[in-house]
Amino acid sequence: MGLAWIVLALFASIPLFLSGHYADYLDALFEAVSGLTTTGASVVQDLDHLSYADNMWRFVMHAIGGLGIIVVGVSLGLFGRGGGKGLFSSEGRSEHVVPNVVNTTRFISRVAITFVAISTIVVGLLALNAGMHFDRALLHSLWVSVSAFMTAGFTPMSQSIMYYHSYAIEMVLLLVIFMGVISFSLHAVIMRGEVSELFHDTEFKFTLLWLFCIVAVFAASAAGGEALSDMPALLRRSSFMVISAFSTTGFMVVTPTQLTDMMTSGAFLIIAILMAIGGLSGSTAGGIKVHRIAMIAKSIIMMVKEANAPDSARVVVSYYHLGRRPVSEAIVREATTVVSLYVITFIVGALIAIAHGYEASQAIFDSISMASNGGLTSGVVAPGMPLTLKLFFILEMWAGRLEFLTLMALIAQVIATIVPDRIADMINKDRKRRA
Amino acid sequence: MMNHRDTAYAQRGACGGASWSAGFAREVKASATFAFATCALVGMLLMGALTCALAPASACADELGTANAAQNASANGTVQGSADAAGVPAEEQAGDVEGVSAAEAVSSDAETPGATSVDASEGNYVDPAQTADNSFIYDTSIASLAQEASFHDGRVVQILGEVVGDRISTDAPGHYWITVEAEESNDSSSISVLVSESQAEKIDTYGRYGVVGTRVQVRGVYHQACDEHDGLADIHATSLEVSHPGVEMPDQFVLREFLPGIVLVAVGIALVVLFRIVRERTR
Repeated sequence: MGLAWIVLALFASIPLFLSGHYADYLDALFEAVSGLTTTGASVVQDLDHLSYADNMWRFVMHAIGGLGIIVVGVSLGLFGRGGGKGLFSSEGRSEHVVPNVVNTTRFISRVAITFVAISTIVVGLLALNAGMHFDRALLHSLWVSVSAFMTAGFTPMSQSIMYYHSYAIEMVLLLVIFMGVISFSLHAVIMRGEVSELFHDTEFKFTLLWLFCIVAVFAASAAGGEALSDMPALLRRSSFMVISAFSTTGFMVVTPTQLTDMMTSGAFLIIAILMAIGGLSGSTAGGIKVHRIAMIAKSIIMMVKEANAPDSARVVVSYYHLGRRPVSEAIVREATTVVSLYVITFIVGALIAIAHGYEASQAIFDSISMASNGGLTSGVVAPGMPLTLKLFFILEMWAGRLEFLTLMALIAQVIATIVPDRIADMINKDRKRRA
Repeated sequence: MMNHRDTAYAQRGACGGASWSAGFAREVKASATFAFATCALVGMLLMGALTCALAPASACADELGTANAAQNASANGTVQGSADAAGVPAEEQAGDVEGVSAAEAVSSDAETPGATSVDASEGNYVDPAQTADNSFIYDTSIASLAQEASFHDGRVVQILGEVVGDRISTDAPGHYWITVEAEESNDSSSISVLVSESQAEKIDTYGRYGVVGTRVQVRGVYHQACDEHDGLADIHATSLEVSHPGVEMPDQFVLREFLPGIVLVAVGIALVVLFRIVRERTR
């Protein structure tokens, strides 16, 4: 399943390459991986003259990637009766919205289609009011709505959301982004009338706390800058960028030059951290996920409680997600492992970019953006990127989408097929030691 | 392992058709509450930060006094004869005019034609709206505006590019946003330009797939973070001239170019059918 993502990207890049808007096939492959993994970083040349067909394909890739290949396949019945069960969790979806996988995939599809349709109508009307032609207003509204709900980031014009010069459109898209950031299991719960479940959810509460703290720091940092520091610019541009980064959407309402040169270094770093942490698990958002940070925080609380409790006491720390659940060692181990893998990837990607001559802050920012599938770029990701950097960023996007563990299992399987004897020896030794 | 919550899902179901619209309404309400709460939180925190911070007010630096004119006279850039916001073409100076002092250059106080020693010919009008600081027009590229944003901030710049996309209305009546893209084939940079209705009417074609938009020469004040437009990087055009009209280049239908796609679709359908057959046989 993990391999299917890259195989799909290899085929999906063909129409992009044939459009003539990419310097070489690798650029087209980068774009395809960016589309399917809902990263949203683009290396297209002359986007403003791209055909409707090629643009539609870019956003179809976002829809497929955001919902998941398996979700799309099962919803369309491609896998036959009861198909896709084993594959569902292998693309980074460990949670069943409902016990039945087929119903889960159909629910996810219905939610996505409903929100995208409503957003398309609203944004389309606003675009028509702004003076766009009917066909362009309709298509642009559909495309940005898909991109917003999938928290992806592609836009049909090179100026991103700035092109529309509309505060109303930005607000509507922010609302759609929020809907995409909420996990689908919580969507199901809300639709059943249990709205209070949302506000009891540990991850949701932790998200609000995280946003409160980080936005306070961001506001203090950004307000001290020379530009983009007055109230209207802060409220409109900076707050949109904060939410775009937190949700790993990647919409930009400032230019890369404004991001690097005019925002304070603190504000710039905070946007990178927001992308790194990402959104809620089980949603279309990327990043490490707030759930894992919450579990690590809970494990710290558990360790502190254990240190203060008598030896004979049994300390239990729980979290709430559709019911009270204990924080187990396995959950903490998984969270810690994935966070470590993300951080290592951020660092390695940044070092590779620095080795190619990019500035350290920009290298770190773009490396985090790729691995967390954020999509914001400070200028490193652009047509004409060095080959090795491009390849590593493709690997980062792929690994981030699969949340690392699936990819590592795939790599282990590949290695096992290449050197089966050595692996068999290792497994036998391990069994003997345990026996 | 299913807990009591999962059992409840199975019993109630999550996708009841009759309750879909009610569920969706609750969904929108909850999401809007979450979005509103977060935006309100962000807004309050930003306001709090602003009241505590010592943020200096940033201003469009296009109204500096004449004291800086002498310093600006030695800046690089081709000096055009004189700016003419009314559209009367200005006579170009031959070659560079570096080092010309502000007293000899176009003066903001000279409102009569030929009042300066630089060019006394008739028709070389001075734009009274230009202050001495903006007596030099920086003929530059759109990419340079991004790369040297702080240098060009508040200065009168002149760019050449293709108008793409759409004409977007603004809150100010009689003004529109257009997007001007660089003409160079290896440069896709673009910038938003605020134009008046009369300027916008000169544009006959907006670039898109198969259409090369009107190529225009825009002269105006560049802002790296415009105060009037909430920090947008833009140019407020003082003049817009058409250098080349738009050109339509319609595609021609060539069946041969569709063949790879048709073959791939056929292969994909065949693979899906084969997969289902194999899967059913293994059941």
